[in-house]
Amino acid sequence: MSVENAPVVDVDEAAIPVEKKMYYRFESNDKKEFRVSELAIQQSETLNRLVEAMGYTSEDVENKPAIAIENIDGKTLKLVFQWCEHHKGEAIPVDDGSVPKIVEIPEFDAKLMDIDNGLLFKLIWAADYLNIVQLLNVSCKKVANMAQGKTPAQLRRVYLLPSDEEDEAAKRAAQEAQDPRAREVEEEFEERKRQGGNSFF
Amino acid sequence: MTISLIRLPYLVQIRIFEQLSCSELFLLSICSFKLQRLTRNVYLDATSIRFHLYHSRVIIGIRKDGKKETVISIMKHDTQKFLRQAVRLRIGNLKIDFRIRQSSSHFYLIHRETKDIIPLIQEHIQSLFRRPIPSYIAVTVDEKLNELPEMEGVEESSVIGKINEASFLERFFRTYPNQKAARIFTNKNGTLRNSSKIFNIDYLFVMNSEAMTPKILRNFKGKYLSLNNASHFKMKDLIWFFRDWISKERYANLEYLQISLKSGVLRRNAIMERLQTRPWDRTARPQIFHHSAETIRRIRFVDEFYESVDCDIFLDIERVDGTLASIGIDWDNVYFCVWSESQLAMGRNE
Repeated sequence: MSVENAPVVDVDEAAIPVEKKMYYRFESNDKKEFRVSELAIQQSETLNRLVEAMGYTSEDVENKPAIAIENIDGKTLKLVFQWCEHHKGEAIPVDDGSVPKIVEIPEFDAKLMDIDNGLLFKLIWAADYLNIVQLLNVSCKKVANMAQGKTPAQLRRVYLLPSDEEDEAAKRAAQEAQDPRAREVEEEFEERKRQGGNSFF
Repeated sequence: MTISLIRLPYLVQIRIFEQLSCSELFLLSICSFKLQRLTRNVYLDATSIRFHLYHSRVIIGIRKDGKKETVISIMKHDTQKFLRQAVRLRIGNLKIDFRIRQSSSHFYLIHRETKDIIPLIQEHIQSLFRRPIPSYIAVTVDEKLNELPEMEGVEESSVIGKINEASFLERFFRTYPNQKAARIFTNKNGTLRNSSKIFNIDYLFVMNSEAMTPKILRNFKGKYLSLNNASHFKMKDLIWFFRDWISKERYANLEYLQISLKSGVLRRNAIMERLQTRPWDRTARPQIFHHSAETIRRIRFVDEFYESVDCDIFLDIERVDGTLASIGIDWDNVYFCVWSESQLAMGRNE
């Protein structure tokens, strides 16, 4: 699909510049285009810095191609920008590494995140990539809430946690993929140990 | 509904862990070695890790900012049949099979040998914190109580219940020897050796000290001592105590002593006559004795504890090094408050 034919998704009609407010156009990796207000963009540190660096004017926004966000799909990006439009102008939490212990999920956010876990997974990746601190906080809280009242066996299922054996197998496979000789050396070492040799060399 | 936690970026994982309760974090940490390592990167803090030994179970929780949270309970069960359907969990470096049961508020890990499991669980929970967190043990003593697990870093304890074994307290304080505070509410206490570790505790409250009273009073080396329902306690015990304090032969660290008799009456005048006491000099000390912040922190959960003592009608004595103390004796109570330099300085400023 060409850029010209891509659907333009208005995230929030009320946010569209009626009084010549600045807005930006973004394009997802599946060529969906979004128009997002300048104020909403400020919720994302990554996008905010990007548009600042580009120094776009209102005319540039209309005349130049939409800014491509290549690793986020349209469905996810729509949620991200809906969230940004709803929370535009709100104070952005300082991300100094200390996560607030009590994170409340507002009603709007709860509805927005009433999605399947595959999409929630992508939303968290997007919030992290775009550095939208509060969206990251609430989406992480949503994932944390899944642990409530779960036994370790249930936690393993809910969070798809590999067992120690699976972790070991994955580690071995990764090592082999990186260096096929490593497995041979390890096997040789094991064989020598079995034969009673206490030194590999 | 599933989501792959491990495939999320590391810092996002930490954010998620930060939102978990201590109990949830613990349960996650025993799922695998990888999770154990990951959960250690969360900044988790607590005032104490608390172990309540009760019958065949140990309820483990943390206290933080005055609030308690149960992390997990460990329960002993001997029946092999019951232990079927066990799930393999990683406690520290070991993989151990447990049966898991859910109560209304938390989970139970059920195992045949809890005595050996408790120290491993303690170490595992401790590993979730970045700094050593002191352990606190509360024991309910009765005939159903299991063996005492060997644990490190026990700083405080409470013992309640009925002791049938004469040497229980002796054994308890030998098992957990380096405690800073202990509160004993048992109705029978048995006997103590002269070398008992109980005498080295800084803050000691005994609800029914009874026949142990003279021995504890004679050998105590700590800062705060409260002996209640005291019996077998003679006037000469008290005279010795005061003389040893004055000469600084003993009780160099003592800040406060209180003894309440179980029965009988104290002969106040006879005691005071044997000591070189003097009435309260308002220029020498304040009227109100305030316990130190550390004493309040260690003893405040005891109903009988008051944060300050009115020394208005108390008489004063002086130690050889000039330290001032106030004695209050009524029918069946003795109070002894040692004034610290900071208390005296505060009094002078008032």
